[in-house]
Amino acid sequence: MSGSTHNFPSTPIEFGTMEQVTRRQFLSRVGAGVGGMALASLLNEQSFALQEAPHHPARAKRVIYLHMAGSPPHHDLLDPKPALDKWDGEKCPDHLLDPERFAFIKGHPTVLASPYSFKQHGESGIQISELMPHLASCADDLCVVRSLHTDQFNHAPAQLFLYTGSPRLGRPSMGSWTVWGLGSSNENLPGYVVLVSGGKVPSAGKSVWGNGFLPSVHQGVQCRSSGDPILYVNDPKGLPRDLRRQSLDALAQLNQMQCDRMGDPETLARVAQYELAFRMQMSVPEATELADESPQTLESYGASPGGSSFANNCLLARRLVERGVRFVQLFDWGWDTHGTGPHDDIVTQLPKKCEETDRPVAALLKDLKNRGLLEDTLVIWSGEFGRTAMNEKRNGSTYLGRDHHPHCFSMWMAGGGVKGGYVHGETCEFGSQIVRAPVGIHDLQATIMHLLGFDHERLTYPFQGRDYRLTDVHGKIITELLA
Amino acid sequence: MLPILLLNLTCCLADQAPDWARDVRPILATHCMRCHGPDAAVREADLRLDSRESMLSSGVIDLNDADQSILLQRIRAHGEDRMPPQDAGRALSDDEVAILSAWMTSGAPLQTHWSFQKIEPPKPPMLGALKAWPQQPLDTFVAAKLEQSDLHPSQEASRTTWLRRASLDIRGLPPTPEELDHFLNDESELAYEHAIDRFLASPHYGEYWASQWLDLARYADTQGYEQDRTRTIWPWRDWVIDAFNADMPFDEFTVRQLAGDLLPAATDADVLATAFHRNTMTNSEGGTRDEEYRVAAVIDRVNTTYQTWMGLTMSCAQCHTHKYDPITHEEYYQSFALLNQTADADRVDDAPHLEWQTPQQRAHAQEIAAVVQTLSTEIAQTRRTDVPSQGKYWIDDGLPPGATPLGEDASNGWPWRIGLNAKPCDPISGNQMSESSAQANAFAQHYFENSAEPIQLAEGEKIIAHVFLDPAQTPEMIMVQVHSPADLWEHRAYWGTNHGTWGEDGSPSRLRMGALPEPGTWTKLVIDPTLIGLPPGSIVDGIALSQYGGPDGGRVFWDAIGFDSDAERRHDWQFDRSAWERRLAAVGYRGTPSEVADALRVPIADRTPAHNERIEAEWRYATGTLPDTKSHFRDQREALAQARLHRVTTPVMRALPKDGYRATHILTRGAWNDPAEQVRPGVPQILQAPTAPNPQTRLDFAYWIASESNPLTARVYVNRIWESIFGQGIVETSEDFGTQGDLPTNQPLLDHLATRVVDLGWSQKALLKEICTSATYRQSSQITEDLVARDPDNTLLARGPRFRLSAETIRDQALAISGLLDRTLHGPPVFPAQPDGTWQVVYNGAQWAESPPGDRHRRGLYTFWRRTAPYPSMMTFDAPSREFCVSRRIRTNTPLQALVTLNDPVYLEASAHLGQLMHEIADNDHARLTYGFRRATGRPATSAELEMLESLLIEARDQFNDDPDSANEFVRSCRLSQTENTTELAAWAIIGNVLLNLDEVLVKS
Repeated sequence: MSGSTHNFPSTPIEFGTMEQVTRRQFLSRVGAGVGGMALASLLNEQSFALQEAPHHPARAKRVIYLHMAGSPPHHDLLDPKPALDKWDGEKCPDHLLDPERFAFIKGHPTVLASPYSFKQHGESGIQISELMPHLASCADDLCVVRSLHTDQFNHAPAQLFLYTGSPRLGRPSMGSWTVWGLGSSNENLPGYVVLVSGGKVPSAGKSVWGNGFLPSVHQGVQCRSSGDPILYVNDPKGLPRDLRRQSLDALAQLNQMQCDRMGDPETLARVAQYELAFRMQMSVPEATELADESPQTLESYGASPGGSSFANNCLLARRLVERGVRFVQLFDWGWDTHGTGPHDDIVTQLPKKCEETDRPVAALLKDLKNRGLLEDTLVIWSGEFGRTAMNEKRNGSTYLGRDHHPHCFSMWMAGGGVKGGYVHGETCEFGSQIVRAPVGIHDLQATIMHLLGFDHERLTYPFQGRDYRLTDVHGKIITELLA
Repeated sequence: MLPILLLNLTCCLADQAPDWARDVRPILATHCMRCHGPDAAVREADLRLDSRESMLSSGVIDLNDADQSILLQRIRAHGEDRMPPQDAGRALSDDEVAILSAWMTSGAPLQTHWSFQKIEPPKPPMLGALKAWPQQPLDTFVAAKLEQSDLHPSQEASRTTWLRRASLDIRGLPPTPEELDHFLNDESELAYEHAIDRFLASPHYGEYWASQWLDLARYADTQGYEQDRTRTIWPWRDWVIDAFNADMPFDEFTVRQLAGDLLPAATDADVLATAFHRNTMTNSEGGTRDEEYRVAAVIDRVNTTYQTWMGLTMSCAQCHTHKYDPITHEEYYQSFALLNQTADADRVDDAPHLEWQTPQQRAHAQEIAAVVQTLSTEIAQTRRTDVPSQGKYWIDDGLPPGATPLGEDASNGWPWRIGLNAKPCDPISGNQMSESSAQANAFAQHYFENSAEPIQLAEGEKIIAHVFLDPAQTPEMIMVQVHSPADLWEHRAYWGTNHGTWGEDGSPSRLRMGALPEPGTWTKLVIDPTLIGLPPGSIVDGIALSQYGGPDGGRVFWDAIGFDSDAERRHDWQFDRSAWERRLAAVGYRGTPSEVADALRVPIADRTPAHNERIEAEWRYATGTLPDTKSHFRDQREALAQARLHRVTTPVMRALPKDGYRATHILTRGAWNDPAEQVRPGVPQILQAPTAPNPQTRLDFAYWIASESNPLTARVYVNRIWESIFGQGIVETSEDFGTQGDLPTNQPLLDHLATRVVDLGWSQKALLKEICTSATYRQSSQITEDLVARDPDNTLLARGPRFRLSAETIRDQALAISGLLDRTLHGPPVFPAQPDGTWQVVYNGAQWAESPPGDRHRRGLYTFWRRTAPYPSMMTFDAPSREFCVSRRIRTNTPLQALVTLNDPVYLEASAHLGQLMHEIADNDHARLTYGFRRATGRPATSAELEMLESLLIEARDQFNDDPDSANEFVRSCRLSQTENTTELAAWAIIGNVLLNLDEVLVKS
């Protein structure tokens, strides 16, 4: 068939449109399900800002996911284990080895107690490490989960599992599912934005914000800290803005003549996309211009306009959600604290990473709260797996560090309908196994989807003969986490 | 939504009974089969609603009184009795119930799913009003459908439209203005056919169709996963290009890629073809279990094979029996077993490999070899015969000049043994002999292949070697191999029992000369070179002395090797002035003119120019050839050796030895570490004739897929071609021909094409020619209001195709229109302009270093494809990341695409070059704009269009004239190097940019 679109509105308002080729298929298959509704929003001019979530009322209208790529050690940050002190430097008990497999540990490792102290904070008395004093001041907003577990212990598969529900490449990410289901609420900005700091993209590369088999318009758009914030959004140097406007006008008129001749409604859709692009050229730089912020705000985050940092990204995240971006994903590299040297140990590197991130994270939570946004913005903080209770000592390294550990790790959420001042789940005295209330990756995903107003079992997309969903065939909502 | 329901109703409420596959099965599949389907593991009440027997024997259907049937009663029930249960789905609609009822009343006929039925050539339909319309047989099937629907075909597209369309469809490139003129001026009957023939003959045809195949093959230049290391697998991509260009029949194309290594007498190219399935990902992250990822790769191969060739969604059966298609969990692992016997195992280096010399590399080496051959002949022929002989043999107490010893102990320099009064023998000539030792039942050899003094064999000249076998350690075979620059080592003579693998026994490449010589005595071996492929005039520049050890090993002495005319040809110094000097010194300058001898006695550092001149002159006299020739010869031979070494290492499939076969088990829920019962190799029963033998090997499997009796392969293949050309397959879900996929919109058309392509010997070029010259294809793509209302998706084909071009084609076209396109074929991937910071791969320091002009303007399919960070502009235009097989790209239309074609440096550069072309072609704006518009769209601009462009041009010119700094900067942004006339060039770049962004340019119409 051709890409023509018989019922396409002549002035589409959606950020991107799917062509008929899939639309028809969806409608016939998904019926009145959520996909159909989202699609309807693509087709129907006025339902663009779909405020009502499709399956039930949403507690969270947008998500900011702060990912500490490489995975921070839970023993040193959120899950205090005083019992480790008496084992420190001793060979670990055998039950921690069996039937364990490690990425790098060889032989019989020794236990590593945390060098950091924990204190209770806020009315809720949540214990938080001395490395995160600013976060500690938000304790009563935090919903800490100490019993998250995964079944992947390498970075790339674990990150894929966390974001796409499958450890292999090729599935859509959580953010893509979200914008596919909800649409964007700002026609001039992408619905799903990714911000990267620490100098590296995460291990699994761009697949963690990939659209998989969903239409490519739903892929995460990386907002870059140098050069164009969004690829090619800036006009080339030397091209006067009004000349760009005039050439787009000429282009629109030439395309209109073409449409008059060929009668293809898709031509009009293209004209509209060029207009949208022109508007994005203004709205994206506006949204990403940190210099507009007050000195106090910049100071509170530790952000500096023009630079590239996690702090800048936190502030950027607030600006983006404020403007209607649905899903903002931050990745900060540098948390893979194996202890092979000072650049990746828990004595030098870990405090450094905490220092870089603690203040901006707390500032983000407070800023959102002050603006009344935290209520319906879900903020999530996690790595992709946990770390061992044992010192890795790779090749006899004398630096302290911990190896990969899939069986338990800690994370927190805040705002967007989760219970504040709450700790969920518990691990054993070594912080090695979960002893109470385990939360699987698919459970976490189901819960996040629930907060966004979706039934995770019904947010599906037909591909290769099967209805796929974020949670595969698993996942249960952890109701204890809900406010 | 509404139109679709109506559509369902109209087909079902018509006179004819509901069709199982089209009408009934989809209802039952959607609402019931999850629990009452093929999957026994979750089947409730032992009821299968995909089996007529099960429905009848369980009594749920009633052929006499549908309303009384349990099926309808339960469906219509309320409360707990209702099917499907509340938590499983919604109630069926009245229309759906009506269809089920009508189907039962008609006797509940249940046919095998259409695509699993054998392909029969459809009967040509009888046509009415459109009788005269068809140009090709395929048109009759389109016409029949149009007549049924009371639609008329569109008028024929203009010749320019058709030519651009065909050029894009066949080569993925627009026609050049010259090609357009040529076609428009060709008034012959066969103008259309000739144009198609020209496009099909273009090497860019292979590139275009290969680039589509790469999505199915999930081709990428990296391994995937965290480290995502670079992988050299582009030689396979070049193999695909060449296969398409050679119009390799699709069945062969299939068998070679799936099992080329198992073909009898497989060539390197056949083995290379199997890299198709080495495009699976490899995980080299620390601590990963290789077996886990090996299993993941085999699973991917099963899924990709079924998806690519048979349009089946096999992956569903990986964890459990397919919920909808009749493919069981066990059958999945039977197919897995067929692909489970290859040696690859998620190794970091991607082994096993093929050391592959690409056709280009081979051709290059051959070119140099020809030069070497000429030079060596020249040198060998100009040797003089009046010079004193050094020794009797070519190899005697040492190797000829320039020769590097190779083989065992080569680092010690091919051990020569001083033989006076030695055991078990003395040398037969001179003071030394060569000694070779072999392990029991093993090969050993000494050789060289780079003598600076090649020998040209004279008429009747024989090769001679003296050999002594140690009676205590007698080998089973001895062999003399002779090296020639023309065809290397393909000249072998052996004595004794045949051992080893080189050459073909009984031919000049491996010829038995007789029994082993008697041990304990020197034997003179005499070889007639003509018997081993070296006729008189051949050049010899190397010898290998080989043996194969017997039960006690082998010990062999060689001596006095050369030619029976050796006494007349000792000229090492011909090639090396210092050797010549040493030689004269060795004989105390006897016979050397005294002033030359005096000059030679002066230490080199102290010689005057006069000394050197005298020495040089004497050397030239003595050697009779110009030193230039010799040094050229040496350089060329070095280059040849290098060229022959140039090989690329590509991962390929290699079968495990039979005794190393892996046992294949069903994997519970697809988990690699949870094996259940063992299975035998095989294919799904539904696709197999009852009497046909079940494939047992990968090669059987490949033949089974490529067989014309396979009901799916030809259908899926032609459907994909149709999709490429018309924008949508006859089966829209080209990735799913199973029961969940769409039904063909015109099955007779599909089956006609499927049988036709087999009749055409699986020739894609022949099929494309029929399609592109058909009346269907030649229609205008103009969309009328009537058509919008009646057939919005053009499934009935009452008009020509019109849709946006693919990511690669948009890029290739922009480069072609602007004249920047580098049309070089083949080779390693290239690195066109990419924004900084796109590659930031963890634990992988790879950097994107932009290719120089030329390479950076190659076609899109040569762009380096990193799985974790694919080329951004391709992704924006819907290219997949190539992690898995993708049958169909979903076309989107987004503002990010507009930003690419407006602002991406690649497109800016193209815009400016197009602007420059326009500016240079004429001296007035009207002519320039006319030219540019035609170059971009293929058609002449209308006066309104020209006016529009002209006013923009004037505006741009004014603005840049007012602000020449901006003009300079803009021209630099566009990567033009010009520093003069920049305001004019900047203004024309604006026009180029608009032209490249025209809807008409971005779509195929």
